[in-house]
Amino acid sequence: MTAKSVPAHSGTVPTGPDHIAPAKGAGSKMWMQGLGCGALLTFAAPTALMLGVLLAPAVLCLVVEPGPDRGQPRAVALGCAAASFGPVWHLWLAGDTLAQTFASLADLQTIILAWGAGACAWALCQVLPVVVRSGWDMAAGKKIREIEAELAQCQKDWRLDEVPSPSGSIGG
Amino acid sequence: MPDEDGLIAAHYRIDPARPGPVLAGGLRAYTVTDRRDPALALMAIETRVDLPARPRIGLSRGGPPVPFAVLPIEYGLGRDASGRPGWFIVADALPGKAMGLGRGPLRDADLAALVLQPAATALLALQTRGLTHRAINPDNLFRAGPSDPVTLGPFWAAPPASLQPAIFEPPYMAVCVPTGRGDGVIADDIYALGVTMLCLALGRLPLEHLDDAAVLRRKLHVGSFAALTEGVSLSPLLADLLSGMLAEDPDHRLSPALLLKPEQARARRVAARAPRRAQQPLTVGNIAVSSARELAFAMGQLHDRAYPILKNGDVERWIRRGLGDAHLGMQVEELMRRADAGSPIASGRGAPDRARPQAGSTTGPLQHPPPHHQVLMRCVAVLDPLAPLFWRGTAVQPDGIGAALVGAAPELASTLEEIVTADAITQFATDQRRPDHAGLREEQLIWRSWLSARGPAGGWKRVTYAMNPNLACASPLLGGRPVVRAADLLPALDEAASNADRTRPPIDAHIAAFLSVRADSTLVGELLKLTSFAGPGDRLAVLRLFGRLQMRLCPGALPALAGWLMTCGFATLDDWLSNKTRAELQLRVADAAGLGQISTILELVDDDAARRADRAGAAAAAVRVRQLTSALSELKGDAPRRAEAARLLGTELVAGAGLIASLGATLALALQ
Repeated sequence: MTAKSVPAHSGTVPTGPDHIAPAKGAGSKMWMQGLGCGALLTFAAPTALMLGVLLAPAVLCLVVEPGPDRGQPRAVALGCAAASFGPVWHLWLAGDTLAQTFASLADLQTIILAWGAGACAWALCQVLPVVVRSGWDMAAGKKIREIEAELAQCQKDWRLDEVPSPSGSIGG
Repeated sequence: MPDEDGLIAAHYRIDPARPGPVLAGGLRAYTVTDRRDPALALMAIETRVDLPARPRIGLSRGGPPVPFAVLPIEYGLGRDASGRPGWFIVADALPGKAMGLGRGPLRDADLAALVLQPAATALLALQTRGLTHRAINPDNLFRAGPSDPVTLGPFWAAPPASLQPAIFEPPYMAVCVPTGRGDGVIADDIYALGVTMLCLALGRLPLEHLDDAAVLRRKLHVGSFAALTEGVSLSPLLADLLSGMLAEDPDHRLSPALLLKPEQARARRVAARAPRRAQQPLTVGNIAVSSARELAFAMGQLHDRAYPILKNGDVERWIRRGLGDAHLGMQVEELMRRADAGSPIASGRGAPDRARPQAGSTTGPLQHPPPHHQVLMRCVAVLDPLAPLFWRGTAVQPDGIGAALVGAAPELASTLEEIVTADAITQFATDQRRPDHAGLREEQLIWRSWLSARGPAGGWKRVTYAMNPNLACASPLLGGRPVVRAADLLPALDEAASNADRTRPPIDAHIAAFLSVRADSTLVGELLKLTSFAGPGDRLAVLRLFGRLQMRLCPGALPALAGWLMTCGFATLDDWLSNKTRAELQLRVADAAGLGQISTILELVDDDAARRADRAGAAAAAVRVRQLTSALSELKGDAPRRAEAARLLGTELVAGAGLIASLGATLALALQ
């Protein structure tokens, strides 16, 4: 969301304030995530299997489009997650068994719904920035045209090259 | 310029059917009629550009009448019968033809009754007004018939005595350049009247077989009366009168009041001391002199021959031994001693030998001539207290320098300029113990200050116009149109504009000098600021000058002159920064030029408040342009940041939607 997330000047040593240092504790965070996944596989293997299948688009997105902010995988993951709460809930109500997991996953509607939600999220991530940027560019273009018109009017109305200027020449 | 009807001073019209006589000096007279009273017999004399009317002509108008003399009534621009503009002086018509010579001798009784009485009456009236005539000779005496008294002819249309034959002038006037004789005193008119009476009594000119130089030498040698009456038989009355009228010293001449009573006048005897004469003459050049006055004139005229014998002491020795005048010898010795000692007073401020000032030069420090000219001038003044101011062989009266400058040849002009720059007039007046020396000194200081003024409005041209109040502006831009008053200048330029070279400015050094003297004193400051007529500052100054002149003196339309100023770029708007304002002003200035209103053009162009507003507007616009330029470059360079922000916003929005959907799903499951 902020300018700080823009990559620093390529080919130069990152010394400015825009440089983002690796977050402290990133390694331990990964270990904690690994530990959580391991615990989930150990104590709730059916749930872990179901989530792994249903959230597979998010993992794929994370692999295919790694970004500095991981915004797109996060959006895809949230999209898939919205469609995954139902099957997981039914899995838990049915006793959280591998058989029930495979039975749920055998229902293509469940997978299509979860992956479709992830695909929609991915597609929106592709389209929405273009739409926003187009809107902003249009507004900027209009502003530029207004400024250029006002500049042209100033140049037309005044002989600005003969106005003494302490800060140097005046250009349009 | 003259009005459309060609009237002089708005009232007098030249009658082309009745041309007047041609007077002395080629001055042409015209018969004029006063439209208010056509019965009046009037004439107008057209003045010559190179002979300005007498400065004190204004004093001749009005006041008590002067019987037996023609005085001016009015003067101004007019047009002659051919429509050519000229400067005319209107006066009462001449009573008849000029007396002249060649009609035989006049009897003594007629001479006394018809010539002496009216002439003395006129001179007495002129003397009362503080005027002199200085043009009395048989050709300038007019009468209606043989038995009518004479009337003194015009004397105001040319510099005093400038048209007078030398024989009618006393030696100290005759030796001067004709236009440099000055106003003189009424006694000089008595002298001229005496010579005129002698001519009329003889019926011819005395000494007519001699040239002017020989007549002058003869007068100096034996005295005017003896020289002019040599070999002539005169009646005792006339001889006595002429003896008193032709005295060498003006103080010894008969006064006009005495001449009104000839019997008393002939009885008056002035015991004038006879001049000392040397038995052995002194030779100056080719002139043998035997008196101090002859020596003074010879030294003055032959300056290059005189200085060596003055320097080696021959003059002083001859004065002491030949003339036997020890006092005069001592004065000359003292003069030479102080000159040798390098006294700045005696030696012309001590400059050993500097270049002569350039005739017509207008700038730079005043240069002083070689000192021996001043020594010679002072020596002549000491030798003869009546002598005029001699400089480089040229004689002039101090109050005649102004008129002599007009149209003078370069050599004469250079000499006259030296006289002023060397303070010669002050020295001359002091040496001769003239009563008006304080006034002359003051005048000379003013002239010198004008000479030292830089720019076209200073220098000799200004001095010449100041010394000659009736001198017409000699600018070639006027195309020969006579302009004597500042009010007539712009109309004349407007009329001349049709044939003028409009690539040249309508002002030159003559016009600048003319206006610096004749225009309002508040305009002199503008004139003195001029350095040339081409610079941007000068152009505005000239426009300001012309605009103010039109506003004050000639409010009429001057379309041609305004167009001339526009063509030369005097109404420039280039320094206005607002294109819109400039375009509007250009239209309005063009309209004003079409209407011939230079003052309006000036108001438009020289508007300080509007100019300040223009500059302030331009400065504000410059600031605004800087702001806009900065904003523009920021907008144009902001596209990558905008794209990245759009990408982030898009993904965050999708993530947010996913989160909401997740929460919604969770809530729905919880409510089941």
